[in-house]
Amino acid sequence: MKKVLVKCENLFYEVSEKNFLKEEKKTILQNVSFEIFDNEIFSIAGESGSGKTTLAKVLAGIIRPTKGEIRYFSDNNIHSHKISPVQILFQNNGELINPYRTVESLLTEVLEKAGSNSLFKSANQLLDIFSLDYSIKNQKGFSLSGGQQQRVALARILAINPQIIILDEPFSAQDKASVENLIGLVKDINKNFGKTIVCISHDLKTIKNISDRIMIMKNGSVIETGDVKEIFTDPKNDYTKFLIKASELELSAEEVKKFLKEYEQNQRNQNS
Amino acid sequence: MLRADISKISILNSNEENILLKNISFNLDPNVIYTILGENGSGKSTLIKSLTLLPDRRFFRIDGKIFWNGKNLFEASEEELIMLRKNQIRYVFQDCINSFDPLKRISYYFDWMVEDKQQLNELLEYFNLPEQTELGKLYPYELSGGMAQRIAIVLAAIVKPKLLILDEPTSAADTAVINLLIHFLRDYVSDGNNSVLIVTQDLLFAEKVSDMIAEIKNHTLTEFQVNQSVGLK
Repeated sequence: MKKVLVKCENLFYEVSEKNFLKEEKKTILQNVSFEIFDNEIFSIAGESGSGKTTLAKVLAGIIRPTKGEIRYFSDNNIHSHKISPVQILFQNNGELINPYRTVESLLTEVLEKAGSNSLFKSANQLLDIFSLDYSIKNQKGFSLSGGQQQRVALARILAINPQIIILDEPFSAQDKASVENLIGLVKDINKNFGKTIVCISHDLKTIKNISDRIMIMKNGSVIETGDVKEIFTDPKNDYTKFLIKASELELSAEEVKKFLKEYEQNQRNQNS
Repeated sequence: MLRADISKISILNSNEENILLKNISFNLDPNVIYTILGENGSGKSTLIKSLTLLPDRRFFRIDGKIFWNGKNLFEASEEELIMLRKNQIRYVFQDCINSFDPLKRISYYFDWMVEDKQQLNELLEYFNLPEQTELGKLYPYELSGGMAQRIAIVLAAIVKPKLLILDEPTSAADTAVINLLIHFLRDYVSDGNNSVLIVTQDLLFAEKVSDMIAEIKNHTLTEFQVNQSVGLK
């Protein structure tokens, strides 16, 4: 029996936009419920604007949901309240670390802050795990490539020994070798360090390679959640089927338009 | 249409000069989709910007010759280059949200750039975007990355440039939109003697959309090869 680590129930997130005349409410997350098991790689997929990043921020406690509940089940209270056990690696490539500080100071800072909670003693140990050369220690953030910056940022996260690591679109705009490298790293962190990983991406092919379970989102709602095998071999929902088929890039423009139209029509009919 | 003979592109760093790319020469012909592949940081974006001499000359030095319909662009005035980029060679950059003025609504671009509103509506509809009155009300910060990218593609393509240059057009697109983009670009080059030049790392997309593919390796560009899976149609 797998142990539940996070349980989200009926999450809503709404923002209101005030105009001079009227106040409009926009629902970003709508009745989102799911569970994350201990020590799994859980992926959230869906089209752009479906609320994936908002959900990540809710999970990390950066924003509060308007309605609903998130429960964390953790026996080892490894942290003082100063450092969150849920850490997030943001999407903005190139803006992940301070461009004016050296890699060494970036890494030693987090090691000092985490103190005895950290699994690591020195910056060199971290560089080894992320296969970064010792020589980059004296380089400043801006002089690193996007992939190196990402790895240093991930090293900072691992250094403080969190329980859950959320990765927001970690694979976008990277070449094939970098993506494979990162997949290996993430699997390592999951297996060797026992971290639970939540991976957000619209790249279904990469997600298929890396995940234990997948959740598909559209327009702020959960469409389907399941084991990776189950979702890819026997998807239940039409939208999931469509996404998997579309990722082969074999659909004609008419097929795409027709499906999206029909799907939206159906949704409207169901709602009314 | 376009002929580039670039002996080198280098980055000027105080007193140093680091060579980024060298010995690049290729031709772009009408009715073809060209794709350039290459690793992170290999200079793909700098290369396509260099084709209209866009990189800041205080930091980049470009040596060579670039001919657009027989005219050497190194001899063109800045005004001529601006008109060229406005009417004939248009770009969609990778971080295209930064191509929009943060203080102007999207309608500003529609009013300024687009004459044929009917065609604009058709294109917006094709790319699953809200219609122009709705979309026009938004400020750039209200767009998702994927939306901004699609709007930038529509705005670049609507003036029918002879050469449309796209930098990582799939980086923020979901798979449904990528399917639409492939067919849009295939149609775009099949009429009006237009061509498309794409820079991407998405191998599957490159394979599905391109006629010719080249790769940046060891600071130079390999020759454009016919893409077997699509081929010249």
